[in-house]
Amino acid sequence: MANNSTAAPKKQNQFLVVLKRLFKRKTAVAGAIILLILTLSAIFAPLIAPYNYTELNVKERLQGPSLRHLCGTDEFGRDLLSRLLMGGRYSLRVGISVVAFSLVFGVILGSLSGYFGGWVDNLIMRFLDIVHAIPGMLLAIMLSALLGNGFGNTILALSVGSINGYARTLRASIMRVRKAEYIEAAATIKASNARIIMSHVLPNSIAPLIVQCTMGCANGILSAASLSYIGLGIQPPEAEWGAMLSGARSYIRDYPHMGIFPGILIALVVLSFNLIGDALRDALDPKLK
Amino acid sequence: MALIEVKELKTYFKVARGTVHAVDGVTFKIEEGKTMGVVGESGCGKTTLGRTIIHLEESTDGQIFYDGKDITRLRRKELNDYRDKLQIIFQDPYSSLNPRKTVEDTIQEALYLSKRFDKSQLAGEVTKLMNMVGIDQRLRLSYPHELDGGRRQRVVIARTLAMHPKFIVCDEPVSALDVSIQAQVLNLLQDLQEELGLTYMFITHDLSVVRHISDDICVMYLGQLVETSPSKELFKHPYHPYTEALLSSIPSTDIHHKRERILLKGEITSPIDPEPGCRFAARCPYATEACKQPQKLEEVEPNHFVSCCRIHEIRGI
Repeated sequence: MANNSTAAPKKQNQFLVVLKRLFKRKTAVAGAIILLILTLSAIFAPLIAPYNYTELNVKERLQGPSLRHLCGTDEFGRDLLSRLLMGGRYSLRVGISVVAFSLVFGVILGSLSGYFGGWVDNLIMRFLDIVHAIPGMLLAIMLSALLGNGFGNTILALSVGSINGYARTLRASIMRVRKAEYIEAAATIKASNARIIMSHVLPNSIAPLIVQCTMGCANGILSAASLSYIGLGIQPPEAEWGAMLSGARSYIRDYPHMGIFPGILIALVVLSFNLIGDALRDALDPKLK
Repeated sequence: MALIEVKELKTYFKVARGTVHAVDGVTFKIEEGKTMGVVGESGCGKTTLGRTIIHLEESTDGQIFYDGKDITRLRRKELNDYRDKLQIIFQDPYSSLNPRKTVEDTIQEALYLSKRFDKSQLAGEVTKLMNMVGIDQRLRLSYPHELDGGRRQRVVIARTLAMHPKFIVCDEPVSALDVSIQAQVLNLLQDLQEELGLTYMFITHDLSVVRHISDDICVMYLGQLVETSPSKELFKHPYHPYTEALLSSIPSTDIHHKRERILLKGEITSPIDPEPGCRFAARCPYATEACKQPQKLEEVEPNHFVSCCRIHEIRGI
């Protein structure tokens, strides 16, 4: 055979390639910067916070933003900025953990269900139907009451209800991919089921999930607030964005700043995840170089 | 001994309206190093036949032999021993390559799974295979969507060869390609056959392709074999009325001998629960009452088999 070839291009680390392509997109950079600032401020909150976030100061209650209190104070006179900073530690963790937890289980159940079909699919889907039949919030309250307070239990309680959505989205996407000839071709070269799922099916069907994840993060934060509202989950005087937002409801007419600031922060988290998620989906697709 | 032999092979599918007789009692042999062409119109079961032989579909009845050993009913583990030897090249190289894998990844995965090499040898073997099928090394990290149809099909061929096969089912490997590329890929397949001693089952509806590449030809109609013979002989003496009509559809290049085209009337009958008897009878110009009996494959000349009860009458042999 004639060797008429020119030099082969050098193989690069796949992870670095995706990262490079990710940060070529301005939206991803913007999202990453927002997320980085929020994360850093949460980590260093005790150092940056100008006041003790649980300290009551009834004389200065319900003040609007001023130089003394940059984000104003709440109904007990606590400094909102300090509470927002400290609350970020909890809220960011909840948002990310809920997504991570339900994603892992959603991907496992969705892949098994979509790839194998038949009775496996039936079993998993009927089980998820049962879980789905219970309203999400009710399920979370039930589990939370059953398991007790604590970070891990709260995450578990909030995640179980959203596994269904991830599993179903992935299942639908996989059922489309599974019929492709390259899946059959993989079987003829003796690829195991695990290999076919991990390296052929999932990379081609995961895209719809990425968008869903970015939205799931906000849901996690807000549901956590509902839990603490009825006395489950995190307890006052601990700070948390969702709880601050729902607590501000009664003051929304006269003191809107109480709701606006935590609201903006939750929106920023969602926005940053969304920007990164969209760009990540594109960066992972070799057709959109 | 024949490398591949099938006896009375049947593949049925259950559907709502009954049973589809996709492959219905097919018998033939393929000698090692030869090419068997399988022709017939769309839906005649030629693809199902190929897929059944390499165990992508489960056979309903009959036997498949590889090198004299019965491989019809294999358990998963036993099947894995034959997977390497029996490979397939799919029709459409646009859907048979994973869009998220580079050329290198695709070939390397097959090499790795064939378990013939150490990890350190894989990259070198990929280079060898790429040279063998004629893909430039600069395309090593390209994705399928960056390649044209011919190059994609070369990648598919390289992936197949990575398993070190003996027998390859080529399921219309060139019909999705531009005419200008078709010849290149066909020549590549022939070169590889010579070099590696491969045995092909070449499925196509393109008669000029099958004439170019096959040693023997099977003509299928609605799941059954109607005629099989060495390639040259078949083109010289197409005995079965269906083969005759099929071959008459090839445009002639000789202006002095205008070929008489035989236009078939009627529709192809349904493959769902078909009547016994000749499947072609409904469209056959020679059909009589006798054609309602089940037909047998008969050797009318050495190695030339025809399945038609009236063949002696109508051809005078």
